[in-house]
Amino acid sequence: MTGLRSLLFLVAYSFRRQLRSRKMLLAAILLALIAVVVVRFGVRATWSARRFGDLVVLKLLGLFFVPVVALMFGTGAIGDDRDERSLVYLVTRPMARSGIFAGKLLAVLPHVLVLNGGGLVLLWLLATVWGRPELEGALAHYLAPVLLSSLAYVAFFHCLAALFRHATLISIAYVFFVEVFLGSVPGILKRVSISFYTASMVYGSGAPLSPPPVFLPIDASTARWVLAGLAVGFLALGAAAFSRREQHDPV
Amino acid sequence: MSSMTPAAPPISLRGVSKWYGPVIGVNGVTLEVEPGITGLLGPNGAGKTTLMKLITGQLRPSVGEALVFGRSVWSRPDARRHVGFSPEVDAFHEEMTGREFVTAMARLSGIPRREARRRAEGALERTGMLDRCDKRLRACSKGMRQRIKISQALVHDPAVLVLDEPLSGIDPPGRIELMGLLRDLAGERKTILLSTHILHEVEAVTERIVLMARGRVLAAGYVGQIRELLAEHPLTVRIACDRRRVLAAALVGLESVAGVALGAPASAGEPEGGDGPGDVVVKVRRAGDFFRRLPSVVLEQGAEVERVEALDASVEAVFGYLVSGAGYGGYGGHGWDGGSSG
Repeated sequence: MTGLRSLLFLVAYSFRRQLRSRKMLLAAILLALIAVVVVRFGVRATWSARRFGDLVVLKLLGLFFVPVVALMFGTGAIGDDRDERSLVYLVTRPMARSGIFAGKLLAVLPHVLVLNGGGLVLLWLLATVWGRPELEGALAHYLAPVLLSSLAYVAFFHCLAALFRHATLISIAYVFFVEVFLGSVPGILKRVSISFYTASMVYGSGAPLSPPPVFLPIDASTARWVLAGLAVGFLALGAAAFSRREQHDPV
Repeated sequence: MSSMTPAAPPISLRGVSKWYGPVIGVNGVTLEVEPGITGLLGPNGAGKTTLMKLITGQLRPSVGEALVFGRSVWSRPDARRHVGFSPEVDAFHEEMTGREFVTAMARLSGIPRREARRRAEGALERTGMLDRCDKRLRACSKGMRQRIKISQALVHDPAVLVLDEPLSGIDPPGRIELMGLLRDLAGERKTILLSTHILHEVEAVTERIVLMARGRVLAAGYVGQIRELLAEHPLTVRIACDRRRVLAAALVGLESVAGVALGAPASAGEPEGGDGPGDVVVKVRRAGDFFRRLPSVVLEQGAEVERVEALDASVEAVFGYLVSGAGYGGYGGHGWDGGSSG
């Protein structure tokens, strides 16, 4: 009971600390920039569901905003404490390390889901001002892929933070080389990227959007399970790694 | 405290070694620490901080076991319930006030909200921070931050306190106050392991010490006991008496005495080698034997002894000897530079 109480407090405490962090401001600025793109495009041409899915959901959100927000919060959940050298106050308390890891993820999850899901809703609302009627029903197709990919990304980056001291740099390199570069090459190599499964979900969601000829998506149901599995798998891997690894300053 | 193993010592290390890759931090340490204050001494790189991290469950021993009340502090979170740790590193959640921080640490220890607030106030009061605890941590002085660190270590009322350089950055009156607090805590049967580089501070609060160098425990026990173990290293004793020449002649015949010299006469008019009142300085091989025999020799010679004092039985002297024996040849009581990390 005491251990559970500690962990519940850890979630609430870390949630509040993240809420007051600069990451929120940075995420808001990035979202505002994307909103400017949506408005400018809407003023010049009408948004269609297809165009919105391709440019906003898959490119601006899927390849940029969603991974960046997940990266900031995923690596920062533990990384911030490590950087300010205050992790000692957590690991010397009577909490299982795996619990600390899971609690830290739970604390950042609302931020990531609200920013990414809320960001999508906001951009969709803006686009509908200059959108065709079909855009009004498009949100239902895009929301689940964005939320599930957010989950997979944040679990992955949180896992990297448990494995590596400089997880942020590794994560940035990962986003550009794996998600952006490998995720857009022809063939099956792109299947190593999370964005591939996000796109497969979007293409298979019933939205009026078809994949490029060389994309070769998997079906939406499989993609959904892969993303959920990645989230659970990275949570388990990260928890195991965090439990075994010592948190100390280098000698 | 109900989950403690009754017979188990508060802190127990069994053959503990810790490597950081090819570097050894702690080497084959077997140690038990009992209730009361124990000073942990050693130069930089001695392994003090590593030892403290092992005891607080931050590090996993490469070999051996680090136990708190018989439970592995690395693998059993419930063992950490009994441990309060004040780290040397000056790091906090800077945006918080002292009160918020200490309360948060209580809540992370599983204490319910209202009780956590009450305990935080209690801990802050004990460290003399209650009237200043609503200041943001980033605006606090070093001394205030040290007190906050000690408060968070105390807040869940642990039976074991591990304090890494807790008095650094605190002004002299504050040090005296906190040393008083440590003595009070020891009086409550808490087990306190205290590392500090200011040796007289250790002597002010305890005679029980653990001396470390190069990752090894060189000696553990009471300063006097440790000193006695150093049979081959003479102890210097000054005896102020009325018949110093007669007493010196008698003492020189003792097996435990390596040498005797006449010290300063008690009065200015007295000749240097005279038999009047003054000091006899004795180099002693085995302090225990010597002090057992001394009263009878004094009685036999009909001398009146005013004062007996060991000139080099201080922690610093013992430490200096031990450390120079361990290869820190440059140490002469002046080469101490802070021991910031072990």
